[in-house]
Amino acid sequence: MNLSTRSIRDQITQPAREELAFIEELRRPASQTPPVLDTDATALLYIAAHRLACSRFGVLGKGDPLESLPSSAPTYFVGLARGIRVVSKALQQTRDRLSEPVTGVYPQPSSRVAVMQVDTAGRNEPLRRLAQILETSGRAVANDPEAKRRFNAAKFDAAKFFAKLSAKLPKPRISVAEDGEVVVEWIGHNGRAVVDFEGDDHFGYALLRNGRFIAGQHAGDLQAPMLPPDLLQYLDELTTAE
Amino acid sequence: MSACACPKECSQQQRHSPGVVKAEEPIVYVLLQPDHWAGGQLTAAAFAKSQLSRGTLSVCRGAHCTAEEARASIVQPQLERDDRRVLVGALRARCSDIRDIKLEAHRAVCVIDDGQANFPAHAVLAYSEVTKQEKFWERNQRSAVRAELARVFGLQPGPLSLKDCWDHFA
Repeated sequence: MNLSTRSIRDQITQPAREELAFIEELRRPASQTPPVLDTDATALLYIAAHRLACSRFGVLGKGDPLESLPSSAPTYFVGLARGIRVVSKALQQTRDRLSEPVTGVYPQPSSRVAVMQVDTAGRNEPLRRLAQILETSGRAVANDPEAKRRFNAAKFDAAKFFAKLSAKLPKPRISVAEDGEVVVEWIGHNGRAVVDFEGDDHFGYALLRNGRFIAGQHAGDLQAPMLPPDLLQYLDELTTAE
Repeated sequence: MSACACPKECSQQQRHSPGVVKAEEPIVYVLLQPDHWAGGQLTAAAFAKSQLSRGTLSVCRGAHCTAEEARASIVQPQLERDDRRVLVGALRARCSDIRDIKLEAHRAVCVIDDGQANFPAHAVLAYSEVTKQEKFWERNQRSAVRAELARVFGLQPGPLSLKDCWDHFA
């Protein structure tokens, strides 16, 4: 495949540009970076997304290491690979530091969800799962351009959402609808919360109460500093009950 | 109120249909995406919001076809179109339970006959008319309605083989 940098750039979608912006964010001085656990977890997704982008444009085989990127590869991908290496190294350093569960204090705690013991493995699980569905469900919507467009945007919205969750929660189930929407569900013995992403920087959510789902009370805005309080409270109760 | 919410339920929509869908009819949703059933639960992702908005979410009227017809008309064509799909099983719900999904006392989901010449038992699910009112219809309400749909179809016994599902109707 012979693609010029420009033709590739023409095909790069908005989420891909977001990926680059995110990489740049990760490379900022430590004092400016967001909480390290958020960075660690979210980076896992972005690494998977970048790998997918590289393989999509034929400059890197699906299972190839980043180092096998040919020197003739367009500048965009060379930069991409460099960014991934930086993130990978940062991840390794983070894991070294957090080899044992630690107690973390996060900004603006509004409930017990925000301040509690952090299980780093459990914390990253949703992102690992999200990265996994990039491979499986991403292919499932590949035949439908509209679903593919929605999925490509929704997966980043889901990543932003997870980056705002600062605590140990039950593992959510993550799935993709036929139209590309990403759906995240927490299922407990005493409740169930459904959060869905359509790729427009917002999310919808519903909570199971008294045997029926009811709509969330607040608009789900990923630009807002905090998640909706009724959702946080519900997840808090779900966590406590487990 | 019900008549206004779902006007298409009030009269037969397709000449090949066996008539309007009755409240007591069993409705079958064939699950072809393994990711959508796990741990004994049906994920809300099984029902695409965009299909509900367009009124194109396909279901089957269990009382008006056989397991073999459902396999030939629903399962086989979809498996041929996309080899990543796998038949997980058939999920059942009573039509009245679907029509009973409400938000703020308004009916939210319509069950509409959509019989085809080669498959008269075809029907579709759609968001109701009232939910299309701009002020009523907020993002979270769409999420709640879709989650309710998954809850209703996800009730026991869960996915059955086509044969077991239709044996249950007999």
